[in-house]
Amino acid sequence: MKRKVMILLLLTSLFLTGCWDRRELNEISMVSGMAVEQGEKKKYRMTVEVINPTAELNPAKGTSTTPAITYSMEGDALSQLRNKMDVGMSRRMVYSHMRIVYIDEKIARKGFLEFLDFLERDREIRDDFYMIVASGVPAKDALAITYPIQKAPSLKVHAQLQALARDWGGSPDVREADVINALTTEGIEPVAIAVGVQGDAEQGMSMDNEKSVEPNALLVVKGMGVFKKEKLLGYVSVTDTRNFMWIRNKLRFTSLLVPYKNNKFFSVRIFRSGTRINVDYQQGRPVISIKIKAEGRIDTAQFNSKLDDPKSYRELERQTKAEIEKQIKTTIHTVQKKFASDIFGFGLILYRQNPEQFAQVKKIGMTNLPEREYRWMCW
Amino acid sequence: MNIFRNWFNQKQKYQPTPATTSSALLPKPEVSDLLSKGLPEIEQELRRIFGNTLDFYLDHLSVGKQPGLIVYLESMVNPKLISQEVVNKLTQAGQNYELTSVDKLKQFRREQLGGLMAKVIMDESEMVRDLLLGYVLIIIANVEAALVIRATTEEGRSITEPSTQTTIRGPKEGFVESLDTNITLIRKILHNPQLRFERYIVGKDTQTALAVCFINGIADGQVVEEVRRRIKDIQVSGVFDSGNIEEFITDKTITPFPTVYNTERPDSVAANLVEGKIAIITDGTPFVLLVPVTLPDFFQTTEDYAQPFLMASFIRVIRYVAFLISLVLPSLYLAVITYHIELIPTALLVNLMAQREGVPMPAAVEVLAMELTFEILREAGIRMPRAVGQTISIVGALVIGQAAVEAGIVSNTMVIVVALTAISNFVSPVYSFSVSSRLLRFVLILFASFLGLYGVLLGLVTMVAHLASLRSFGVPYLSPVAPLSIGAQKDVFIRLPIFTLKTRSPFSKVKRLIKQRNSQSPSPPEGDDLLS
Repeated sequence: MKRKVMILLLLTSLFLTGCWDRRELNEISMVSGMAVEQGEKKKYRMTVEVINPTAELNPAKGTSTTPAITYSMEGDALSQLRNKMDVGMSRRMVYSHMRIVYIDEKIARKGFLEFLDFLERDREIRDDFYMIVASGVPAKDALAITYPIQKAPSLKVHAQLQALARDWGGSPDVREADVINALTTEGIEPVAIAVGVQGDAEQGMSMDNEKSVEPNALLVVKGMGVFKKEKLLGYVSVTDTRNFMWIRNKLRFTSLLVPYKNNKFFSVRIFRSGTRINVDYQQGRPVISIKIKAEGRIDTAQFNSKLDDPKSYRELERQTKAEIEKQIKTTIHTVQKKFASDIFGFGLILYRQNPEQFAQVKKIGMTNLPEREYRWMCW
Repeated sequence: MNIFRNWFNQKQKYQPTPATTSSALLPKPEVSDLLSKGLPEIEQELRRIFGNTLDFYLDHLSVGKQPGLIVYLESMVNPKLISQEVVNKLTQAGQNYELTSVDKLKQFRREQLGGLMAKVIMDESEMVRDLLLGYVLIIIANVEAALVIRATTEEGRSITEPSTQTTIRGPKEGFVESLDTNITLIRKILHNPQLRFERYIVGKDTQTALAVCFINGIADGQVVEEVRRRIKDIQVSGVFDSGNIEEFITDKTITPFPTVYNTERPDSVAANLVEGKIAIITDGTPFVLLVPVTLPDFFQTTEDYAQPFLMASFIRVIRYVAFLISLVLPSLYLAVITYHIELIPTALLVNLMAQREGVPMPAAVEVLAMELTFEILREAGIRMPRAVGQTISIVGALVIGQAAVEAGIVSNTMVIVVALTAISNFVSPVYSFSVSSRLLRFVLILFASFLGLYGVLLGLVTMVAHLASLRSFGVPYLSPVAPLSIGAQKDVFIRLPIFTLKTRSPFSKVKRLIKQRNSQSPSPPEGDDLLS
């Protein structure tokens, strides 16, 4: 009897739930990237980029057909457009492999909370795609700049950002989850990768862009966008981004150029570094100390230095230390003076170490602290 | 369910109850006390029993002054032996013995035929049976006993390397079809006075001899008794292979997993006997059964112990992996590409999508079609005459493989998946075990096509539950993994050096759990090397 019931249950489960979400691979379109802009008639214009797999895979065919197709629609909410894309495209859209979301500068300045909830909520969309602000170029165009190696633009940008973040630290490597984290946590403000187009965007959107040795248009990383809450305030450079990564202890490798004397430089390849931030509370004010420990090797020295002598090493070490200090200081100054946004998360650290005092400091604002209260340690 | 059960266990009620002992099934002489009758009656009766068969030989002869009969089946005896041994001895007997009574006959057997397989019998039905087994029967007038001398011909295949379980390193002998030869092969490996063979006759119409073999003192008496009981209970008309026996003694019939081990290798049988298992040798087949058996046994070969233990462990892990691949790879692939696209790495997905582009069938149909094609190819490869052997490989490789992909009917990846599955299936050391993954693969593919990964998991959970419920002669099928014995893990997924394997699995139902108490690792002499 028990067995009968079990077998019956097993059989019915086949008929009840089977097949409803079955999707054949040749009945789907894989969305690799998305761009959100302000619409002309409606609130948003959403552009999706889908991959043409045969062209992406096969280099021989790749020259004849486009590796990716984009299509734009306008609507008052992204969720409404999500499954409506077949107005212009074929097959069912699958968003689970989306790597990139471009947000147009205008929308970023106004705030993007309205559709961030959709991106987070949707069951197919992951939370590890890159959030990118398209600066100085329509987001839709940034989505379509071709490249000969990774033919689909989004895949190229994804690879580009990963490599840059790993080898030099020039991209803040923020995924959607990081943005949401920063937004929902007190004491830290979000940032986003900023990209722009070098060259003529119109020409970059054609397949011909792949054929020239020097591409007509390239998508380049410009640094990062600094936010306060969900609103974009402005941008900082790639170098500042590297320093930001350094302060956040996310830096893996970087190359540091240190001026020596008489327009001579030496450069250090940093291959290991660690950062510790402490917030002390002295005389009613927080004192933030940043400790950076870095190891590196000398890549180049444009002068005759006796590198077999420990003394000269120590001298170079001292100078490197000073340069790191300068770099970090400049970045913190720039960000705090220009934007007054605590993207480094000093407030969060204070909160973790001393929540009551954080409540008091919050009234003043973490970014309004006078300079002398940062203590520098570097070795 | 009940319909199936009835259909399965239906008894032929109108038949008379079968006779109780197998010897009673032999054609019985109608005349009782046959041996006390005169020679003409005996001749008449024997001719009646055997009829007009071609190979029945009966002749009159004289032993000294006594008239007698010599009877045998020409097809079963060695003519050389008859002329050399039987006739020679009888001539001597005629000169020196007066074979007028049973005692004289016995004395003659003792003094002249000692060492030869000869006996004096008084029972008529035994007479008939011995004739069938290749004995020469000599009846002397007025003596109420018959002399039987064994002169069996040695016809049959010579001992060769086994064709199913080949090894690189290890003994190369394989069993043959003759029961006696097979027993010899085992005895040659196990020089142990405790080694026992018990003879049974099974099969109403074939009268096939079985030998139950075990080592007294290692094998558990209860299990041996259970094997005896199950063999005695067999009611079958014919036995042509040990597979027939297997179906009668197995613990559960409706299961894809074998609960009886079979092997063609004497060394494997010997090793298992030492482990406390019981072998059943069937006359007429080189496949010897072994019980009780557990799932891990099907992943082990004797070669594991002939190789360095690191290599053996590695290969054993490979076997488990290959079993899993052959079981779940097609269903996993199907589930992932039709239900769980988000699980595939993007680069791979683009690749797969490009291949599926233009394939007209749903992936489920594609998988099933390719798997079925492979099964058909495989069966054809086994059954076809050797002479046309090349055809299959050409048709299989070109038509199915290349043409199907080029025509865009199936995707490249699918061919890879099916091929990998097929190859993995051949890794199993015991052929009867690979059948289980072959069958369950289709079930899992069906589950995957309806329910995706959830279905595959559901299928696997059901399978594991079923495996856990199986017993082989009282031994849990999954032991020593479930129920778990940490100590016995030394020889399950990996094989540690033989000197560490001191005990047998605590679930293996043997009398002696300790195998080699004092074994230890080798230790070279300390100090200078031996040469100096």
